[in-house]
Amino acid sequence: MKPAFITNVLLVFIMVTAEAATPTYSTGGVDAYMPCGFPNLPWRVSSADAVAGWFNLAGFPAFSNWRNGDVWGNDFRNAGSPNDRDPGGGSDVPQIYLYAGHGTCQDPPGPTDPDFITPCGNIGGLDFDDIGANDKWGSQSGGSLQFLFLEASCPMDLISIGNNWFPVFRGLHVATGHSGTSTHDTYDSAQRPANFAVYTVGGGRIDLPFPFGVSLPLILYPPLSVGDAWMATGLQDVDESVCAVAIAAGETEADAVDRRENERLTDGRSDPIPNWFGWRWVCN
Amino acid sequence: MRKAILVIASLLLAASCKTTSQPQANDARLATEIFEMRFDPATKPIAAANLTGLRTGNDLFSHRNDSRTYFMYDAARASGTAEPFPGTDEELLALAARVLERVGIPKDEVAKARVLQEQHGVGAFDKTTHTITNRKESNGKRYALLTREIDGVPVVSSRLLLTAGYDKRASFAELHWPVISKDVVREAKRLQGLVRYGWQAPEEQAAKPETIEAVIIHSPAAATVMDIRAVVRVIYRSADDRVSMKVQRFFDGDGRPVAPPRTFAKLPELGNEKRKSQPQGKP
Repeated sequence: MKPAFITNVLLVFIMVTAEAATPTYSTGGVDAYMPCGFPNLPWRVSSADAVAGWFNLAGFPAFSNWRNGDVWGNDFRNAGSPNDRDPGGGSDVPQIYLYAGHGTCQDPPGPTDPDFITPCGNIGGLDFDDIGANDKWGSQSGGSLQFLFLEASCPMDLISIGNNWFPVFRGLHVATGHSGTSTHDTYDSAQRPANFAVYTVGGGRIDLPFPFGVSLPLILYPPLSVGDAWMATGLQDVDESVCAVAIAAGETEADAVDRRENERLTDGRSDPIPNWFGWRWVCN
Repeated sequence: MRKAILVIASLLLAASCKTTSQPQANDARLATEIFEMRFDPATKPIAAANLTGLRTGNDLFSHRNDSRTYFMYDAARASGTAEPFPGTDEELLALAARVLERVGIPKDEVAKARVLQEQHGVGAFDKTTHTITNRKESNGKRYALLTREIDGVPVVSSRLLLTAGYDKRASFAELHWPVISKDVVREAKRLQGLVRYGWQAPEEQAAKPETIEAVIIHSPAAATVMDIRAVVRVIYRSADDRVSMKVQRFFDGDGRPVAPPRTFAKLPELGNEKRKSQPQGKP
């Protein structure tokens, strides 16, 4: 038997074994806001599709990829029915969730102003989900989410980050978003979400030839930590003074800082006890 | 355990990957010439889709074969918990400028060169009072960001983003600066003239035009395809501030919509794309 054949058999075995522990993901992308009387965002769905494309190439199992009216405010709320643990694809069901759609800003935000996720559901219309008041993510709230990526307007304003974000980390590891105002805001970018995603997975693949005929992940893009990936890509297609923000929880100060700087999607770290928070930001 | 599995898998991948069509020394030479990286001469170049490169331990160098696009990364030196770059902003920008020069990019294509200062916060959370205690803020990494224009036309998808380590060498870089044909530049200049003389942005429901600009756009650095287009880019602002993400649209000179450049030649199948559950009360 040729050594290359044995290598490939071992390779497939190991990758299949490793893949069993890779994170699941969901994406929610909303283009269609005219049914709610607000401007459409033509590239939110395609950008969420591209994120899903990179996660698929990295071997992450897709839990749900809901689009437009299928994305509801309740997909993010911890209480009520349905809620963020909707078994079909609530945001607290997979380990990774990306939302691409409208948010809501203030001009300027104050320390007690809320942050919002603002989808346009096919029943009930525009839904302002107040993150700090309604949402809790992670194993300590009955869910599974570890990484939350919000591609929206102002979902993570720096001035109110303690009020809106510290309470929602209930096992959640790292979250990313933007800080801005209703006049200085993010653009509906076809590219920014995918650029971020590819750095979190070091995307790419190799196609193993016959007799295996399978595609395997291969790292040829820089495999950055979640925080580094967002700092490197979050300022694409944004107004001046908009900031890309990432926040991580930890049991200790050192744990929070380490997760903020170094945690990757595939690290397989345990869920943090949210005693401390580390956050980082860079502004345009 | 998973880490060990992935490390073994990576080693086996490196051993079993097809080598590139380039001579083995080529990528190592490029990595040294452009980014002062040093790879063991025995390192095998690997290829996947439109990328070729080298990866060993903490170090990665790769480049696209369909675009003037380079990536480099040293995980140990680029980490935010590693010793920071000790130089001045000017030194960081000079390092970035040298990278462009080594790749043969003309200086007059740099629209703007600036340093972005990342900032850090850390604090304890009092779960009873919901207040932050022991809050501390500090400076984090610095990023050299060089943007691009050709003959006065912004190429908004191109950039060099670079960080450096304690030894004043690049620790992470994305250089995405594809060659733009003269035809595309000519069309962009024509569009620029149209905008200058009052080109009217098509109406967008519930939004108002905020900026109108002729630009060149292209596929992102991480993409399996390279589209390049001259367009008029219109940024629209929502008429109602309750939602404010700005609508970005691209048009040709006649006001016809132009699709954004692609990321994938063919998007992988996504799966579970339809909601099945029905609301019980307000969704």
